[in-house]
Amino acid sequence: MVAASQHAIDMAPFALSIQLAAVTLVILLAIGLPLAWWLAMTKSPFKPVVETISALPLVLPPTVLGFYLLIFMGPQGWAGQAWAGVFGHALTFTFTGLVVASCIYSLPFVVQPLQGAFERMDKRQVEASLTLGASWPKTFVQVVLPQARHGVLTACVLGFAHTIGEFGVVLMVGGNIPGETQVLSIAIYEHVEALDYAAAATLSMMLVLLSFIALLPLYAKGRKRRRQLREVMP
Amino acid sequence: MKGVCVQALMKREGFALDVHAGFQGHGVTAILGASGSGKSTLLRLIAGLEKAKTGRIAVNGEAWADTVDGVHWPPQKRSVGYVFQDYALFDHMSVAANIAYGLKGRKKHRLLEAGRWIERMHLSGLAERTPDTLSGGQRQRVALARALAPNPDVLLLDEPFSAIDAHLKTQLVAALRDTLGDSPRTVLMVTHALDEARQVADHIGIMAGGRLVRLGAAADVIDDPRAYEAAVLTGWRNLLPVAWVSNNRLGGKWGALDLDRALSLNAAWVGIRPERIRIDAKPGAGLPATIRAVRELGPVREIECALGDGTRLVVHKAWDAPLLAPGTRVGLVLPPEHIRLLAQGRAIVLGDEDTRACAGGLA
Amino acid sequence: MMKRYLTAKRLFFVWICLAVLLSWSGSGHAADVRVAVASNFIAPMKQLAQRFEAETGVRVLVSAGSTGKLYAQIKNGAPFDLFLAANAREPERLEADGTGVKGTRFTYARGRLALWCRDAVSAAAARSCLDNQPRRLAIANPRLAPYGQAAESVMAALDVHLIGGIVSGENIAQAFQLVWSGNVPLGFVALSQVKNRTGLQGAYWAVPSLLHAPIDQQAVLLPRAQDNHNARAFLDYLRGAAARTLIASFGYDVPQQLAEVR
Repeated sequence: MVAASQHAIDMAPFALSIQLAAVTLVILLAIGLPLAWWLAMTKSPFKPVVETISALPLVLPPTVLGFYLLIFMGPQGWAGQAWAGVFGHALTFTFTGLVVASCIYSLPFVVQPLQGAFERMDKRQVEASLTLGASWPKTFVQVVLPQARHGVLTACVLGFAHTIGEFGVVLMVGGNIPGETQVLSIAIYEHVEALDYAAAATLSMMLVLLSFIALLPLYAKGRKRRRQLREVMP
Repeated sequence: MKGVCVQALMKREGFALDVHAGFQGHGVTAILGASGSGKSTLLRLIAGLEKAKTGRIAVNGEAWADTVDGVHWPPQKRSVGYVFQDYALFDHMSVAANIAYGLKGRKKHRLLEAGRWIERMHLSGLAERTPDTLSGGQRQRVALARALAPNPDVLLLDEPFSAIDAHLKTQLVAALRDTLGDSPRTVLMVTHALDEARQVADHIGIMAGGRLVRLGAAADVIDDPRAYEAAVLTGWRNLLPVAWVSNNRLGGKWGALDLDRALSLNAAWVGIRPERIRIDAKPGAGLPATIRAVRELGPVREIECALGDGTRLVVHKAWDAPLLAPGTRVGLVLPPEHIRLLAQGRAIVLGDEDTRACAGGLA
Repeated sequence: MMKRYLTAKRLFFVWICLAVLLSWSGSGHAADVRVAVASNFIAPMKQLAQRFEAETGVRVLVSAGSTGKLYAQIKNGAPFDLFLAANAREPERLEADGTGVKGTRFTYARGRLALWCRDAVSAAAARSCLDNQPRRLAIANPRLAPYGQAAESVMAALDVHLIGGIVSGENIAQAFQLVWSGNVPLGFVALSQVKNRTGLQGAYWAVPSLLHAPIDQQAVLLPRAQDNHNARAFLDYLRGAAARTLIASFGYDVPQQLAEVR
């Protein structure tokens, strides 16, 4: 199955995929932690609206999402023009544009496990921390996050793995430019279209392996953890 | 001006709180009440975990909350120690880390201080353990140490024994009494169990329907509850509903009684303690009654009597008093000096001494 | 327990930071010419790019995709200098509405059909697979792909009757997959797909091009590269003899006229 390919295998897509997933994850944690906390704690009437909006990427077909992002981030779109004002070119077909698209696309996979973990948390411990004189930042870091660590792990793993496997959105917004936006899933697609099935098979195995390694921590921790994790998964 | 003054009005769906009272700044005050009476809410208000719609909370003369002035100190700012019903220990931290959590200063000093508390609370050797490996009694002591270590002005305990096995309770209640001892702070302990209150408390407050209906020294409250709900919660069993009042007499379907004073309270009930009723063999004296049951309770004999309309009264006599057989007709004499009048519902108003703290006059 | 948690978290953050640093250190190749090419032309395109760079030192970056998607991306500002489509329709449209530079559109290759029969042992045998009342046959979707339309013309011209039905793939690559995977024993694929392929199961018959309308694959210069003389040089290179020989070797016809198509 892993026969000799028509050309030498390029490793750039592999690195790009990891970089995209890592950067997206960092940004999504920075956005997702406060958003999930607000959603878990708020009694605002806007909560269902915000929840629905942040869950939309789950149900929209990737190519639809990609198509609208292509317009929105392109030179005729609002975001693209704003970006062009500073950097001289639109957001589309750049690594940064991919990051923006991936953040939108993988948002629910990070926010929902976090929100679930915060909601299931023992609120009394938060209250105890406050009565003991701890500020909100100290409470969040020393009490909330450790309490929610399974949710945080789930959010990281799912966010990372989901971005690794992303295809439709990246293809539309990124444009398959080698070394810049040609991530692993796109490279596989290109090989298949070019009928270089051997290369496609090799890269596919790498993608499967990468996804496997990314997901393993979530399930490897033994039965006690798994029971707690089931309470936290979306 | 030591103590906690609470004036608070709160409304939620199906729940209303209306409290105006001053709690002593020394000794332990137990807050007794049935579930839903608002006692936990009172604690949370003092701690800053809840906000009153209108009101003022002042501790040792300093306003922690005041809706008129727009003051509301968040819990972090208040010098309060809170022991939750399930203790709410940080189960990802060690016992030492839990106790040191509220302390300020460098880590070394904090842990040293925590170590002192561990010794004081008989938790030696458990410093590095995590809460899930401890027994109920040990967890309670850790929770107490954690709350006390920062030396708060107010200590709040929310049903601290509800998670304790019955056979351990007596020891732990005694231990708590020793620890709190002569604390230089206001201590409020919420409980629904009278025996805990009697063992630990110097003062007792009674909450019913979101209102504080009685507050005073423990012995006073138990001897003279003044409110029907207070009587029920302090173990009074001989409670007779008042149907009519006339000068020095009052009565109902069960009969009538003479009083030694004019009525000052809006009395809906009268009560008398079992050991104060005299049994007269001559049925003509006092309230006519028939003996229904006799129970031996160790040093005390309990005699259950039925009045004319079937209402039961319980009389306590010494174990070696002359025995009376069930079915005997007797007269029950209720000496006026031992009869207590009890108000009920919205008619209850706390006496001046209970709100004195809020006017600035706590001892 | 707390210590263990901190350590895992630290490792995680170190790893994340490395990834972040790496991603912004090496982005943006300095390519001189950026080409968007239809997927079926990737193989010859990559060789042409290599040779051009060897001769002139000018770097050519190749991005492949389906003609339709590339068209949409170009209309939305994709940073390409040249567009090599798998048909004539999209380049015509681009030139007509000004997104393509006028006068630069030309046919760089003409597609050829091949009839691929898995049960055949020679070209002649492959041809006769059509006569034996084939059960199923694969083609590219005639509505979407010129190769599919050409296949239909060929079948009409040869008066082919099928017992079963036509299985159409979304594009010519899918038609190829249908036969390659064994799902359909016979199909009209592009000659370029089978011509140099090793390990092919069965045999193919190169369909004479007079049996169908020409499958013109056209290229056009994009406005972004209006003044990019490297891009224009590459276009000229594509029209040159060396390039045309290479393209032909991949199984395409190359039009004789060098004049631009109006």
